[in-house]
Amino acid sequence: MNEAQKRFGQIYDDNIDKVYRFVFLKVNSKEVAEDLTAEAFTKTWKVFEKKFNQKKSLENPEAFCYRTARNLVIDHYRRQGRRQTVPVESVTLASNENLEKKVAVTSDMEMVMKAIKNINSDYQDIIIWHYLDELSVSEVAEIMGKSEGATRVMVHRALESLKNVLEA
Amino acid sequence: MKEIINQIESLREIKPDSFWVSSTRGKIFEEKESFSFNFFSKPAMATFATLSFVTVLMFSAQTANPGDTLYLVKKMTEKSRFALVPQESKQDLDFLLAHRRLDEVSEIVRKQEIEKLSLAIKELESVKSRMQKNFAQSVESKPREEAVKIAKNLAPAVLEIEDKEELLIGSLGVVTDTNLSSSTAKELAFFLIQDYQERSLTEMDQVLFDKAVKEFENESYRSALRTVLEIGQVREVE
Repeated sequence: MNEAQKRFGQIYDDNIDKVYRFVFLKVNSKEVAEDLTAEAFTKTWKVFEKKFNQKKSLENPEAFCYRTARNLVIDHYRRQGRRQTVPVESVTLASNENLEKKVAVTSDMEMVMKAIKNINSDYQDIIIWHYLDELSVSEVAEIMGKSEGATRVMVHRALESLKNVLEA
Repeated sequence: MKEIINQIESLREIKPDSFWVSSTRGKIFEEKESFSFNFFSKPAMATFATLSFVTVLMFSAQTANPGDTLYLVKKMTEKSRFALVPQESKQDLDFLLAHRRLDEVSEIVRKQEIEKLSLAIKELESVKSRMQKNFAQSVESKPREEAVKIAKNLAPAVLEIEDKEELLIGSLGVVTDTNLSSSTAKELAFFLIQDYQERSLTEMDQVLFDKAVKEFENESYRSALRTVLEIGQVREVE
């Protein structure tokens, strides 16, 4: 494994769960999420490697990967022409928690996932990135290609929008 | 709001399959190493188009004569072919090229493209010069018996080329470099005469040998070569 692969390997390890989760929440299919996430990382790796060979570096590869994943999701829906419902059974729970807690978590997840599906697509992304993946406002702004101020306003509106759906 | 954020955070339980994570990691780095050829991709089409163009160009160049635009391509093709064949096959290729040069001269005469004739003759002399050099190289480090065998094997082809040349060039009334025009025949005749000089000969062989020496001294190198080859044949029958 060469130096570029080592460095990108670390980026992959740090971000694969988050990017997969983002894509999964957008497409609601384990298989599609796996395909699109793999494609997003492959594309990011190609750019990363090219820059590395040119003695340059890819600025913020995490943001690049998220952006790529986001575009792939958009392309996916363009091809599909429709959105799917959330099959929460296909979600893999990471922990070995007891059944009672698992049911509670699944219930929360199901509720919030359904709610997320019912808000504006940009707000969905913002909720996932900022509240779930804990990206800062400036990082979200970079991925979305918007100013920090505008993103801050959108973060606030996204959460309001989700709250309205959950309370409806 | 805090409760909503907690609910959002519950989604952290969504994790990809660990086997998929590890296999995808490997595939990302493998992808570049495993070469896949997509015939319809732009680079593949470009490669195909270039190869087709080069093939057509090389094919068309095979009928080109000295002085033609494509003759350079023909020569380059021959050069690459010459570089690729093993040493022991270079003589055969030289004979083939010599015949080709003679055909070019013949074609130029037929088309009455006299302005190209000197170029064609120059190309012919160039191949013959290389033939002579290659012969010298091929016998250089060989034991005497083997070198004689090589010389005898080459002689008929050399005579055929030089006879054809004489017929063709002679009919034009063109004066060529006589030393060069029969240089390989001269080299072979000299080599074989030297060989028989050191051997004990029968009476009949001695007569043929003396005749060959006389022809060589008179600069009738091809005649000398033919005579020397006759000695060989008689000795081999015995």
